[in-house]
Amino acid sequence: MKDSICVENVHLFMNRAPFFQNVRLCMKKGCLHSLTGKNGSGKSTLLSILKGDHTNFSNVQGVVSFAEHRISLTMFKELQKRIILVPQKYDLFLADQFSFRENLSFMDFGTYPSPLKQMKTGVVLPKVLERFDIDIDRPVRLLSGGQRQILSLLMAIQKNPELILLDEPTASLDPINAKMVFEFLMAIIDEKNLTCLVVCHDEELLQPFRTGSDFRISVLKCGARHVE
Amino acid sequence: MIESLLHQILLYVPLILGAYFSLSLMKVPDLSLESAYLFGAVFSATFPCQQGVTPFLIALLGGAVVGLTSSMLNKIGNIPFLLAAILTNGLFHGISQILLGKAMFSLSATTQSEFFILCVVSIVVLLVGFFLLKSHLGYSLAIYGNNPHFFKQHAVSDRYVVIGGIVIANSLAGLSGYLFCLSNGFVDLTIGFGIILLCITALVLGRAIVRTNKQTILCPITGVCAYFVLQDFLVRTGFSLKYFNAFQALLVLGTLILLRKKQSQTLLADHLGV
Repeated sequence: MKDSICVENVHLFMNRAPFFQNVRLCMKKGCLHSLTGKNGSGKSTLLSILKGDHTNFSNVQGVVSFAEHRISLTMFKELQKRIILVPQKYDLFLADQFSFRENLSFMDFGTYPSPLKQMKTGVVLPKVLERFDIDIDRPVRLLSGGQRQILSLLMAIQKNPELILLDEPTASLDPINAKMVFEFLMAIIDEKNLTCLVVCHDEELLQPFRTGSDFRISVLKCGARHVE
Repeated sequence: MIESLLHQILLYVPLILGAYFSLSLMKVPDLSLESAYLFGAVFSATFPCQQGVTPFLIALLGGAVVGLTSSMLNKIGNIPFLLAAILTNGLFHGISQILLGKAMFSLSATTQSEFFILCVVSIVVLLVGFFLLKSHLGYSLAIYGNNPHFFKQHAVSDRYVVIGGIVIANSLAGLSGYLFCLSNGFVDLTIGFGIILLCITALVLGRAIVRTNKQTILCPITGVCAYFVLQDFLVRTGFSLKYFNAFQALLVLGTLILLRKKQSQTLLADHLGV
């Protein structure tokens, strides 16, 4: 399907026992999709696999289809160009002694930051940011949790990914900041036509913002994970 | 009087700039600066070709080899940096001893004025340092000190950043070691001992005066100037230099306690304190 990003035939074995068996997620482009399930059901593991981080796993199988391109889950570098994961601990994503603007400009770095390329701070900021009243020249450590989460989302978007994975983006935020983050996310999805897969336990918060599918992950009796 | 003070400052400019990269920006306990300082001098002094800029480049190369060893032990061998630096120190002190073959080695006199050489080298080093700090790599060194996990999250090679930063820092220390020996006219195996305390004192002084969290070349320059002005002042007031190490330690301690008390938005206490 041309207007969807599909994850197909995901298989993963842990200690020789099946963990994921034939997992399939089909996400309509330009929508916010959710992945829900109990703690320990494998949501974060699935996100790590999709991001191309197989550090703790071997024998991962599966394919991600972006319109005409089909990319195997073992092609880490190709996956990392198209899919980005914003971790639950979003502070890992930021250099908090630098300003919001500087953090965004760090996204110009290649895999090997050049000693010859001079830093440019003239980053083009999205229009939606004006609504959120963020002082972009303040060191990030002085911003609120919600504002820092917004920055981590913007940094992820700077890399022009086709799919953004968010692992519990509002877990450490109060309800007001959590709502602000989702409002920003929806605005940026509309502006840039992005596809997002969010892991979130707060159904009440998530429900008004979800424009795509709700994937539910459950543990079968045999220990394998099932997604519906 | 001012010329002799300036002469001393210029001798240490590359070393303090190197220490600024590794200790202040990257927040790495880079004790290998001591062996880089020694090995840069020894490697250059014993190198067969002593023509033109060759000895300076060889000194940089000597320091770089030391930096490469300690950073690779850390990033590829997964040895904690402090231990890697201590092992590197031991290794390169031994290699320096073998290269020298004796405790002291005389250097041939240069045809150029020594002060002129120091001025040119310092200007070149400061210009390179200035542009490096504004570059992607320069910012990466400061980001590493702020959040070492940043690079993994953004698919940037942290191995490259750490090895690159430490190699640059140690190269500068190697160059400084050679300048010091050039000025003395000989190399001996004890020249690197205790210079880490000099680096830390100068950087703490620089940071206390400049008061910024941004990476700037002003910090090491101000630090090294303040250090030698203070030393000169103490000597003039009759202070014996044999107590200077103890004085340096107390000075660093006092400055750090003062800074922590006056900690403001522009000055953060960090795990290395420099």
